[in-house]
Amino acid sequence: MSTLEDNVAELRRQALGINRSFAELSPLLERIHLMSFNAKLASHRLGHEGLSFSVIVTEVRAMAQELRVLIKEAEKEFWVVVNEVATWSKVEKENRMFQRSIDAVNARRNGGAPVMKWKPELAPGVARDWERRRSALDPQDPTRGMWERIVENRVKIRKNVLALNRLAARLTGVISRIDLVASRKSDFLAITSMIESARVVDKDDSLQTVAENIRLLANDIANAEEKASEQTVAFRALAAEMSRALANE
Amino acid sequence: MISEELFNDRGRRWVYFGRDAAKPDTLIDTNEYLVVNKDAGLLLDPGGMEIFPAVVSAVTREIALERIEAIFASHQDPDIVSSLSLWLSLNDRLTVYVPWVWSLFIPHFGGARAVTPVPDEGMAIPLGGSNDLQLIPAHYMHSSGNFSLYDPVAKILFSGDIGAALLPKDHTDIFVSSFDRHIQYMEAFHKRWLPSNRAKDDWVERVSKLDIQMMVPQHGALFKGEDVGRFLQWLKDLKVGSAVANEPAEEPAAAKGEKKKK
Repeated sequence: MSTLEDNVAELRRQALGINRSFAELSPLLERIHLMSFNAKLASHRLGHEGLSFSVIVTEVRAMAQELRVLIKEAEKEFWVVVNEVATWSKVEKENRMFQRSIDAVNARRNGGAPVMKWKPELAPGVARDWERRRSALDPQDPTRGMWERIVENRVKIRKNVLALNRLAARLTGVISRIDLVASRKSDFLAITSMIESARVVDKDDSLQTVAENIRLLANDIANAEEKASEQTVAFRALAAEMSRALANE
Repeated sequence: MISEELFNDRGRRWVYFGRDAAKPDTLIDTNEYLVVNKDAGLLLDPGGMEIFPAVVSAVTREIALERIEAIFASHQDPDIVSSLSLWLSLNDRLTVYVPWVWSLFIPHFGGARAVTPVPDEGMAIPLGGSNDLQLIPAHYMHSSGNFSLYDPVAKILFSGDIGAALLPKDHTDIFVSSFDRHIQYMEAFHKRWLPSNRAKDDWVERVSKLDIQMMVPQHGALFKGEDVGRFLQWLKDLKVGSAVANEPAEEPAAAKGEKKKK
């Protein structure tokens, strides 16, 4: 069984991966912004013939803007997730230190090795087990305060995992909307710009370069989004698995 | 971790904790102290996060955790007080005294609550109905906001990093047994960690006026009896600030005095 520490480390790693994917998407949107200026100029040069291409360029810019708003929304959700993971890490570390401290107190009392074998925090029934041990302690027991914190922290961790599961679902929702825009819309715009540039190629072949750039950017956006999407799915799966483990207590 | 009672009289106790044999070699060895007045406890430089289990288990043998009322951090280093959040988690009513210059830094160790800033000139710490524990300014010794603590009842000076020694692992004496032999363990530390000869002379002059039976640092062996005076004289003569290679450190006051005499 994986330990809570392993799971926290894995969630942290995945969260950082999602963040990196967002970081990859932002400069692509900036590139679209710059490219659309040149595309507008090129389509203006063609006059009436360039009108259709100009509409496509406007759509590309609108798509970039839409993606920017969605990414901001995803980043907002993402930071709430990061906060939850950070709180969790802190509480988990505190519990680990208190467990070591109880071991040290017991070892001193017993004049030897610690007597307690700690179960992983996500083991089924561990909360009940710890609560039982805490209740059985003598009121004057020096480890009582630490046991109380451990049990309280375990409740916090449970709430934290459940919150994380909800947040992961929300993040996945935003990512799906990004997916819709990034993959489908950008593909559609790439194809129509290629068709349109081919139509006017005998009058101005520079639009073909613009269309090729749109295609390449659409490809890059789709790749970056796919990575973010895969990582979010993995993140959600882990959060859901941990949530299920705790929900059964 | 070794515990040793240093003083117990008139309701006042001092307990030393240190030489944690189980501590990983990657961590510097530290000394922690508990001062008890009547039933109230004060922890001095309670130590880093990693040694918290050893310290808390040793402390619980001496006093119930809920009787600890305050923590004093001589300065901001992680080996001094990075365990703060854990102590606060066990007792959020603790008063935490820290040099004011570090009062917004130390909470980064966790606990997310205000500490009690100690003004530059120092102050008295109330404990168990008495108000005689004095915080003595020790700024730049080595930290820019730094205090020693003097107890006029026990005549013990807690000196923080001043008097610190990096002892070999097999060194088991709690007290300095031969001052001359002990110099080798503390000389490099003081030359490097203390940045200012002026600050050093100022501190030596200030504490020389106190009646000190025991001087207890945060690392290494403790000084008692005549070794306290020997240490103060040795420090007075020592040239510190060794890392400033291109600029000779200021001469110690003692050396200046000797030159004048000549």
